[in-house]
Amino acid sequence: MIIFIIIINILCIAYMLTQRHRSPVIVWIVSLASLSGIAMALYPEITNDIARKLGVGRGADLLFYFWILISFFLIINVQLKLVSVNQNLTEIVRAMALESALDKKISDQNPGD
Amino acid sequence: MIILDDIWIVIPAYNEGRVIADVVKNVSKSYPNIAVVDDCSTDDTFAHAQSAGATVLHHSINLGQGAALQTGISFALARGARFIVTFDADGQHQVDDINTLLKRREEQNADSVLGSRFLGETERMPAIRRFILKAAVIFMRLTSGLQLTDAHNGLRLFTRETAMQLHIRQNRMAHASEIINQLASMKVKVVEAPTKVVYTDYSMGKGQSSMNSFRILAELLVGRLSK
Repeated sequence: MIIFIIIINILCIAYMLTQRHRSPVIVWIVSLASLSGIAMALYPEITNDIARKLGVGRGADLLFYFWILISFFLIINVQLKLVSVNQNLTEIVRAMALESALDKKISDQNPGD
Repeated sequence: MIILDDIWIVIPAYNEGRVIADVVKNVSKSYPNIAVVDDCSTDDTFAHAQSAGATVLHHSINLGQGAALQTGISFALARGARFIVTFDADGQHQVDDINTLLKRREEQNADSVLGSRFLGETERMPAIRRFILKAAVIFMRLTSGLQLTDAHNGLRLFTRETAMQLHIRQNRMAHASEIINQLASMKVKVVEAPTKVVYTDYSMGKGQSSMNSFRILAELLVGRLSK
């Protein structure tokens, strides 16, 4: 099982490296999470040690809190990307509408062309 | 001196096939330059508006009233408009009020004139709608600093210079508060003028319902939060 977890995380890091040009921030976050996954698989007690130092009850609770934080960040990131995509879409649709209307006006003024 | 060719009327429209021809014909009796922005209607809005004599622009997907307004404003600017008046497509606005806005602009040397149904008059306005719009006014005054009496009136006049500075990014209903917030931050002279809004069975049946009023208020809030 531990070997399986390590292999999955290594594959995840390898995939992230191929995607590093698309979204460097996401790549970094996922790669760090995968490295943490490998560390935790090799040294399971590490999460409990860190949790105690941070004043959190158990390692599992600590992981859960981190997961919530990362998920929140990813959701916000996706929302912002959606807003940006929507703005780009709006600009394209508007440009098409304007071009069509302004071209029509020019051809109405120059019927011989 | 203002000549009619300096004025463009921008009418955003979505599925107004039943009334758009009458609206365009009524406006065109006084103002020849009319740009209807068909926001990907699924009915004959485009054809009716065009046959009534308007210049019709067409969005290939439905973007929202805010987006349609910006498209119309951009078109009017490209056609050299000195004054741009936005006008609703559903027959709620009165053509005479366009002249009211123009006169107010000249008297006050304003950069923008916003129609106000609460300075003017309303006909058959549902009580819940009045309540919601009054609440929206309070919210708008607190957030924009502009002391307006009507926060959600589609009848507005912009000078060319003001329109060139406007960039409506809120595609849907939140564009109303966005316009006011942008006018406030431009520090241009904004005045109101009394206008009349008629609530017809048609416009109320089209979804200008009480629920829509709550949506307007919610989207004003969202528009503010997403600024």
